[in-house]
Amino acid sequence: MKVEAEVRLCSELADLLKKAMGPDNVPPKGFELRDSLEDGCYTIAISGDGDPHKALLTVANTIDEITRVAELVESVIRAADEVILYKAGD
Amino acid sequence: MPLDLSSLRKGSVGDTLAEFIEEAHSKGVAIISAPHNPKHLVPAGLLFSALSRTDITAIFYPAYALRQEEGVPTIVFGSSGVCSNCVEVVEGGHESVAKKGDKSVVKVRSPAMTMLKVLEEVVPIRREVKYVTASTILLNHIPRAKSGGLKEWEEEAMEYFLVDNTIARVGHPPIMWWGILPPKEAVERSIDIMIFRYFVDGAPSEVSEKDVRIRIGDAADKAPNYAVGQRWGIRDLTELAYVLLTLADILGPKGVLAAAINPSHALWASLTFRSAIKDYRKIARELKYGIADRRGRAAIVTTSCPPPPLTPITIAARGADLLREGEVVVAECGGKYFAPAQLLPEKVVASAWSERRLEGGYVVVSSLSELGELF
Repeated sequence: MKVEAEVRLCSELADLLKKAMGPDNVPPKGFELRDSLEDGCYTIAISGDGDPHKALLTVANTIDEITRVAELVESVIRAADEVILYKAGD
Repeated sequence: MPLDLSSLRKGSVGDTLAEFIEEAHSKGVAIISAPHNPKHLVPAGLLFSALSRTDITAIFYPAYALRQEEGVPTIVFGSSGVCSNCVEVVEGGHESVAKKGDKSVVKVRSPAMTMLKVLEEVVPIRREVKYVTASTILLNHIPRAKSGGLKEWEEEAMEYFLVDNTIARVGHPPIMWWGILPPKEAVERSIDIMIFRYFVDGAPSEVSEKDVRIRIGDAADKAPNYAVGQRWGIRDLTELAYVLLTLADILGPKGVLAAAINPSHALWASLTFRSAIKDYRKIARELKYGIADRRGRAAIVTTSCPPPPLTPITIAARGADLLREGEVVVAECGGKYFAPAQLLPEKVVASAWSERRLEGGYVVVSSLSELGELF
């Protein structure tokens, strides 16, 4: 299974990513930082090797943050080519 | 914005929950707690989500970490005895409300169904959230081989979702992914029924429905099979039940809570669950052929780090008689032992939490003697 997508994180999701990266600015496993822009947004690549969802949800504590992480999940699943295991019967 | 409670159904259970919400509204804050298992975390998540849409600040604590505050309304799902001056919602044979000292104990058949029905009258509930709620009923029926079929109240609960096509009954052999994947792939992936030969060694290219029915036997054939009503990333409700267990393993209580708030979290966890199937084959083989190191109730297998979700394979292995009831698959990786917290006694998990030995949904220890203390 391959989960690859390039997504842009802004506002609350960018804040969560900052929190997950910590003071050393190390992206969570599964995230590759492609670009960080002055407007506070990040462009990131997500691979199937790690679990960016876990990294972000671990640092999400409020319902707004939890909901934002779900939005990321939705956008990644929409963008990825081979996320859903099965197509038969759809 | 306050919840409009005027339309809540009347009755002792509904009244008690309505009173709790009203009190939370008057204080502006509420504490919600549940033990580390999906059957109780899902209703906690439903309530958390509903309260958070209002002007009430909802705070969640896993039961092992519950911190009550003076004057803050508190509701605990599934655990008895952990709170004072609170509402406890527990599973019981008949719906009832009783006063026990300073707490109200609400007994219901299914905390998740009760919360859904109460909240559905006052806030809109997404279709996918209903899938998650329905799958908590199926948690009572995994492993499938030990199910024996739905009880009458469970049939009624599923009927609640069937009438508006939220879910659909599936008529073919009750095997996960049958009718969704080609038969060969379904039997090779279905840890739920685990026809050992097919699951571990691979199925022939032609797998007939008749052959599958003979192999799964009567008990498993009585077990329910449901699909979600509309196109979604997870099609099979039994798979969703396993995904909730997966979330509880890899992320701990917050993962299941998050899935009840927004089921997209379950979609992500389904990828982990599906990719773990190859690890489950190896574990099933090690259990079958005595390769796993058995220490008391722990069956230790060596895995990559982090380990694959261990609760699904433990439950599946019990169903396939590869483990006895009460035995648990423990992973050894990176010189540590990972035991799934949702399968351990609550006191053990609470103790592990206070000793900072909880990582996500696992109690992690460094030696066999420490592992022995968990069981």
